[in-house]
Amino acid sequence: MSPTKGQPGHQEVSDTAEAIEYYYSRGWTDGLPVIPPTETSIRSMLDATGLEPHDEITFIEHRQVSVTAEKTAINALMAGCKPEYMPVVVAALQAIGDPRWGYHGPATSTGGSAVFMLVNGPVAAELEINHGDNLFGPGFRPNATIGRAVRLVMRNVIGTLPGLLDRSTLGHGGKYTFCIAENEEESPWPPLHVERGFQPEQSTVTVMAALAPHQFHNQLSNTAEGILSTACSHMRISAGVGRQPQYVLVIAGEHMQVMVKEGWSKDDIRRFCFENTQASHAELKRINVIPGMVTPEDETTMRPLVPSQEDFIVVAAGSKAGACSAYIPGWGSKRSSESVTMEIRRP
Amino acid sequence: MGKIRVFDPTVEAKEQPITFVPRPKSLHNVRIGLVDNTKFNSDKLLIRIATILEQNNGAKSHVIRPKHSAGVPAHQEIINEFVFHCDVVIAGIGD
Repeated sequence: MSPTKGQPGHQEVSDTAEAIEYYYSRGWTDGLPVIPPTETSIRSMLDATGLEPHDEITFIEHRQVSVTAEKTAINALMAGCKPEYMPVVVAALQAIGDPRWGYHGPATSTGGSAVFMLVNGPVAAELEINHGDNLFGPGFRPNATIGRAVRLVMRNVIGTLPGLLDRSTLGHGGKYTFCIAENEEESPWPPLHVERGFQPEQSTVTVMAALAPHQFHNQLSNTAEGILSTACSHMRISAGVGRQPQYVLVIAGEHMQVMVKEGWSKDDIRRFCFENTQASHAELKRINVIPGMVTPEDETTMRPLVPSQEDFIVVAAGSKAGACSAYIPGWGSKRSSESVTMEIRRP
Repeated sequence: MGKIRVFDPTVEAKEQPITFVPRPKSLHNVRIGLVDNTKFNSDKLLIRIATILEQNNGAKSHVIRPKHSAGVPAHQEIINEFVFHCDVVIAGIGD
């Protein structure tokens, strides 16, 4: 079956430059120019997933919107995706359509989250999804375009438009794209998808409604505890404090080597961070992140940053050089939105 | 020179017909259902509103039930309870 033809009011333009301006004029871009799709390129995207144009990828209940393969292909092409990226985009959309992710909250909230995407498994290396230098920065086509494709679908198909159904007060740069891979080649730890029950040879994408990444530097300590004490001091009173979302902890090369040398596992990291990011109810009331008057018991009643230690999602990624790592606070609370891992299926 | 076709990346949301019950002519003797979205202090604000409606407008009573979280609609148990035990519902509360 060919991509849908003869849609009511379909438009033709003279050249690519005019097409790009036309997409702008209709409000169909994220502010950057898009690649105009063609019938042939749409077909290539569909073939890469074995899907037909009207196949439903996900249904967004609150919006009563069906996200079809054809519309996904159009938006992914506009974002600059190659056909081989399409299965990752499809899996990410299935993940944000999952009730556990709870589309309405993170997509609409004033809290201004982006869709953080972590790709695991063989597909990450095959597509050359960056897990190293300039991890959250520009310069890598799959990282730049896969995340952008998801955002364009959110905008154009699901109607998540700034000021209308996206009420972000501030937003952040990750709303253009926020897609990385885990450094599975150099990491001594089980990758996230294996921790979550998938086989190493399976490929997955994990999505989390996320605020911006924050770097922390520790160039002084050569112990895991020393490095993580810096991380915990940064995280303890950070964007998610009081609400108990999940947090991603991205451990980059030099820090990872220190932790490996000391034999620390991801569980050790989670346990340390869980214990060392708690704050007393009294402090949280004094800084106005939980309500109420301070009582004597509040001085000794501790509130964890995240619901459980498993809610620190530890990821090996980032450059080999540099004594810095990062944490990413989740949006809202885990009760409202939690990370979802979805298998990437290829025909 | 050939023309380039523009492919529309958007869709229209499905229409959802919503039927509203008639608004009561007065709040006298009505039972109020309060949907707590679970954000900090939303319960306090809603109960304060209900108390004012009881004291000033003759409302009979109120019941408050929390949603599972702020980002989801009220779940079926709340809806079922309010259908049978409430005459009006206050559901809108923001930050």
